[in-house]
Amino acid sequence: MQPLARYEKQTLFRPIGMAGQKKLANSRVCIVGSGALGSNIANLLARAGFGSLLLIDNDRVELSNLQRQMLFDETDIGKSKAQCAAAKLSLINSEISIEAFNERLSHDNFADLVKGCDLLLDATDNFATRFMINDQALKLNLPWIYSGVTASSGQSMFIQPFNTACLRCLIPDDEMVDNFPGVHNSGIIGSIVTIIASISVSMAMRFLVEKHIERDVLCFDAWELSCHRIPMERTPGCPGCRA
Amino acid sequence: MKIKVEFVGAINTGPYQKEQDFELKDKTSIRSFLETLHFDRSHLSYIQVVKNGTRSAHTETLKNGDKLELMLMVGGG
Repeated sequence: MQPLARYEKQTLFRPIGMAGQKKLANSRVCIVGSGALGSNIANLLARAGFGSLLLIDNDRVELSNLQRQMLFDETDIGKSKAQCAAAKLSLINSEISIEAFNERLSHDNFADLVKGCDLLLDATDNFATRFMINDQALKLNLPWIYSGVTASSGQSMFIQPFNTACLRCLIPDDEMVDNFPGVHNSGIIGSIVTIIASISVSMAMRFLVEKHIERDVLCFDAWELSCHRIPMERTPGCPGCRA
Repeated sequence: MKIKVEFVGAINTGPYQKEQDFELKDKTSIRSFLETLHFDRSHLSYIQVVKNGTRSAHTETLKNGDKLELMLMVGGG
């Protein structure tokens, strides 16, 4: 297979071109979570030729996941999401490196697992893990992209430590609440997952190709078909990034 | 004083319209206003407030004619 033929249409897109494609090929990106957002994000990144992907998830595929978790089918039920996703992605693009870790990302293993990564994409399903990512990313000066979806709405936000607002600039009081709206109690439609995954992947591509940093939180609703851009500044006295 | 509020995205509008006017006492803070709404108190930290196009701290005071957008940070993935 001719490697460049694969990306012919993407390199025709002038902001990427051959030079940008090379930057993507040389990049190493970690995707935390291989569920709805994670499988959609990983699918786009693999097809776009991000050279090295790291998938982290300790969950297993269930029947109710198939409505929105695009890399899985009925034969995958009961299997590791990260490993299943990696196997599917390697069939889509055998020319990139894909590593799968069937474990939960934590303060203890974060630095080891994400070593060498240029960017982390959050595709987790809870804020406790996101606050952990935020704090560890600040320690390692690792840029990351927050993505979240619930019901028909979703948000995406680029976070570059000590430059953009961090997650604790937005949510300084990280009290965890049991009945917070989520997929478990508010449901979700598949289209919002695809939209938010696509926005986050665009942010990732533009950052790696052009070093562009998106400073707004992008909010979409896939039912009302509405979108909002909310400008985010660092919060003075933030307990995370200490702006 | 009167303010205009838009509930953005996944946030529960409760008994209100997606866009709704509210009559408030002068010098009401954003936090005090949020506490009068239907939200679970423990969720308030996760609500981003945009006042007249700029994200605003919950401690800020409202004035007549302010336009607020309320957006809940969503956690699913």
